[in-house]
Amino acid sequence: MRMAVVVTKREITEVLRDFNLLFPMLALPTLIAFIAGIAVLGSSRGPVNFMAEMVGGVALNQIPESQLRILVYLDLRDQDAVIRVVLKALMIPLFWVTPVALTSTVAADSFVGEKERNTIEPLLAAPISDGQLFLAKLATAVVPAVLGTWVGMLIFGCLIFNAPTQYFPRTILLDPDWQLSAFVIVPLMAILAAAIAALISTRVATYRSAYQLNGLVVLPIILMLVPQTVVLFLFTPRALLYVGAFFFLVDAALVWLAMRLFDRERILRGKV
Amino acid sequence: MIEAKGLAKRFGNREALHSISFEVEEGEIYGLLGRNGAGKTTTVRILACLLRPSAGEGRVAGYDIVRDAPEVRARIGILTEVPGLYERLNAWEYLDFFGDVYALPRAERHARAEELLRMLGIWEVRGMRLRGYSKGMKQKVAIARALLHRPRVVFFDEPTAALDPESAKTVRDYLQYLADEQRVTVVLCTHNLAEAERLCRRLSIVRGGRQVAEGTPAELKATIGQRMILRLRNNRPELVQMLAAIDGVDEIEAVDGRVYFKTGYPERVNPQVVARLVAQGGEIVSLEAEDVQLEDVYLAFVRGLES
Repeated sequence: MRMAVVVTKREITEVLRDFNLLFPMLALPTLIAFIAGIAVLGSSRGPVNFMAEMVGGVALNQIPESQLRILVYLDLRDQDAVIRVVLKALMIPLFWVTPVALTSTVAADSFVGEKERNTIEPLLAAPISDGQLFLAKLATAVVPAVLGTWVGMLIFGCLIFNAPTQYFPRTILLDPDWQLSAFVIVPLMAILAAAIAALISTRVATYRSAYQLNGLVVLPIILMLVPQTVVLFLFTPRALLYVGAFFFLVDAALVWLAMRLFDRERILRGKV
Repeated sequence: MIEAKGLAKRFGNREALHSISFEVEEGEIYGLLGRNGAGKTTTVRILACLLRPSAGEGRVAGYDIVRDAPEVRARIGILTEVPGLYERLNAWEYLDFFGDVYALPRAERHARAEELLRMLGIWEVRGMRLRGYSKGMKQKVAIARALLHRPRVVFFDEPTAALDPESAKTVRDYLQYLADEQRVTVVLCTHNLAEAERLCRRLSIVRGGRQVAEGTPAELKATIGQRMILRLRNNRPELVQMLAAIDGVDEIEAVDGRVYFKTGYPERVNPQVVARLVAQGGEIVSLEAEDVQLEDVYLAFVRGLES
């Protein structure tokens, strides 16, 4: 593992010195934090009935009422509870977009950019195993993206802490769902994006095409998963555990596949 | 120190390398010559465990290049065609990183980096980002990287290509020192034939993925035949015709009172030439060998002498 850490440290130093990589790292989480903060604070100022109608209706109106009673664990007459759950269900997945977007950028640079710049060959000639090199590149893509997302969550947490609302936990980092999201699901989302980028990197030769393909593959997955997670929140208080378990299995499969395809000769020749 | 036996490499349907074989002794500088795309880089990549051979086997520093690849990698240094530097780092950080990858203790890698950067004349700019380096300076950093961990075997692809004459001499002298004093084995891919002749004890010429010649520079020169210049006081056409009939005399021509011919066997042919001329009344003023350059040998082989 020592080698993987050495390579990761060097790669992250390079990321921090590249404005094109660093700027989205800082800008995207900050932007999302402020959008989420404004949404929560704005919603807390409206009348409860209106909020319940508006927020709850986003998801609940899509389900027939007969099934709603069976499926939804909440007492729908408790409007405050509905608003709390739906707001949380909308805000938590908002922060899943950040690790995916940021990981794709860095992963494309790390996996394909290095090949394109011809810097990979001396490293491949060094005594580092394919597995360690893969893990180093995976960590390079995942660590800054996760840290950036945490910064965004921290900014959001500070906004909520300083302008508390009865519909949101004042200290979100003490809330188990937010903790699960920050420390389990966000890293898993980042690993998902990095593994997909690694798989794509075996097929393409340029950073630009890798980046575009990452977006084409990853974003539809996110756009499909996030609304489903929001609805899942209404059906069970353990929604995030199921989401986490799902991503863990998908990540394990993708990482295994990407590791199998990641070998010196393929990297050097630039194709599978 | 290096053994290559029948190394071959196939990329899909294209056979890039056909049965390359050679041995390099410890402390020897061995040259690989050939056109771009001839197979030199593929040979080096196979021996450096970057590519797996499709056939054949190889040993480097006593280890098998397929089964013991990590052991081989720990003992070799490689300078690739393109310097391939991390340009967001400076030279010091770059060498520190590779020293760490090769598990050199911090004090040792710093001392070694300083020694190499000073030797190559870039110590003063070690703190500058590599993006701002000239082509030659980048090449020097890449050379320092290849030698940082004191490898037992180094593969150098065009080490002096981007260097000014003074730096090129420094690198050549250092390679000679490594081979002679440190017993480092060097495989040198180059298009600089004067450099190859000066540094390499033995050479292989590769053409279209095939090894078409191997030997010392002198042996290789002998294979293409030596051009002899004969001056006769009485240069008669029948004398030239008589010489052309001697077995081993090729490409004979008479120009401006001189007779030129080629022979691959001067020790056997020249006495016959002299004896027959004397017997036929020829008055020999001089018989001398024209100096053969490695360039002549190279061009002869890459243009297909073997066919």
